Amino acid sequence: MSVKEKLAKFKEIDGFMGVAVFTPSGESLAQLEDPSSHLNLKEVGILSNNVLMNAQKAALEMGAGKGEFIHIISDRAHVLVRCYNEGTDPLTSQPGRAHIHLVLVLKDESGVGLAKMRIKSIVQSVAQDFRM
Amino acid sequence: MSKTLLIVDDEKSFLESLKDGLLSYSEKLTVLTAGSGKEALEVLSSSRVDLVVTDLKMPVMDGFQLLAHMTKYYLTIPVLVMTAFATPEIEKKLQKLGTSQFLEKPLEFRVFVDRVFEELAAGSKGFLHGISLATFLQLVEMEAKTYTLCIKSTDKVGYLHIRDGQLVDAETENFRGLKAAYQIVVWDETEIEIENICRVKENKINISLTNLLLEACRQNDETERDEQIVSASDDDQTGFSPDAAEMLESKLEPIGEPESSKQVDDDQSESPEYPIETVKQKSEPIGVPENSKHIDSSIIDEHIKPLIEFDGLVGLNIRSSIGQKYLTYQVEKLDIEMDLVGSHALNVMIHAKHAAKRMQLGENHLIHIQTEHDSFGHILIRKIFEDNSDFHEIIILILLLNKTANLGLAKLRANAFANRIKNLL
Repeated sequence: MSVKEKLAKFKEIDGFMGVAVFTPSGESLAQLEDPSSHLNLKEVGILSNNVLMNAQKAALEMGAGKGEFIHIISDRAHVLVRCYNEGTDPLTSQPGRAHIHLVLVLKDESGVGLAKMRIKSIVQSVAQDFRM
Repeated sequence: MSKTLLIVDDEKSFLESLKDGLLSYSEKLTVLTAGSGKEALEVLSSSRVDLVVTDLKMPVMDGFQLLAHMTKYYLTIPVLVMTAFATPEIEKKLQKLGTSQFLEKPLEFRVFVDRVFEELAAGSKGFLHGISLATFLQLVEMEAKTYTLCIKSTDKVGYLHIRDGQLVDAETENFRGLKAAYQIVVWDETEIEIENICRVKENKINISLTNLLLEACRQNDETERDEQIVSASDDDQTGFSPDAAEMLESKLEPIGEPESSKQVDDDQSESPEYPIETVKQKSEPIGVPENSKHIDSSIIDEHIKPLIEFDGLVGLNIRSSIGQKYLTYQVEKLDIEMDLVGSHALNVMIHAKHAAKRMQLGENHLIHIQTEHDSFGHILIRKIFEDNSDFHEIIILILLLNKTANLGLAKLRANAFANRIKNLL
């Protein structure tokens, strides 16, 4: 199954606007969007990815350990960002260990619960295609 | 005439790709590269350089050391700093204090080229050169550095004591604490010396560097406005009355020490509902800027109960971006400092706020961070209030929840609390 096909499972979630996969340094690996959402997915993805990285750094510095997931609730969307890192250092990548960030944007909160459940399994499956 | 650009970064492939990209400008631009601050200094001592573009994280001598060295020996060379944390709003504000000298990472080549030529053109017109103190302090905060900075400006010397990117104390010849900090950050033509240690143990300043700079900027504007009024009065030959002098002096008064107004309430008999580490604002805080929103502690007391009694709550913190702490509460003693959690949470909220604005998703209200911590697997950061004026104050509620907490209900209660407080402000 291709990465796009795996990501297409998110399309079934209520309020789906777009999903993108990034390297931890913010470079896009794959993306899929609902054309009617008029979302600048590339920009949203990069910026959300950046928010996750900032939150991960903050979580480490506040003594909370690895921050794996963030959920940003704003006026017009819910942005869910999940980090999948098989390495031991939360902020860097290690050879042979998959490390990707998945950004999912939803219009409202109706599908958030399902999205969280799907993210867990899909990010793991997508990571297999991007093992370094 | 061809200009010389020095790019400093420890990633060789990145340097090579920039160099390749700039080949098409070879008639106007000579590109030199260095892999560390130390190598950059060698280049600077042997070649004429018109502009330096530097990264911050590098081995041997990092970008901060390089910038500090340049403020002393290469003050006339303009600098651009590549960072992942610059925000347009802060940049705009900082332009009032110095030049905006950030280049946001990941770099967009077109933007990079435009900024380089813009900066080179500005340099030839005699604009402010080097790195401004305001920009330097922004970078120190973003990178959470621990330094003692010795700031020299003409005949003045001052010290800024910074731990993990937070200003903890400041000193000038005549003042200490916030008053000294407000003076130092607006000095011109500064030279910066770095010591990689912060000797001050006690936090005497409770305001973030960004807010200190913004407030100093605001005060500076007011002072300039008042000076213009006074000067206009002089021109009118109406005289400069003692009253006007007093008014001007009062405008120059620094905002003071929010810390001095805080009381740590350890007496459980007085506040049985907050058993552990409760910090409550007991009175109108001294020295907080006039236009700051202040939440009365009685309002918090009245509405906090549903949150305090929430099953799964581990800790709670309410604070503002100007350094006011309204409430700190822990259900049981944790191995973390709630203050540290609060300030990092605030940083995350401010960062996400700028991102949301740029993403055109509107205002963001809540951020949920899931962590691997045994005691608190979830951190909820809920915005209570945001001042959209120039002052940009943000008040947030931080909830630390254990892994089994009902997240949906926690969000509902946090929203209800935030909305009630917001409506009362």
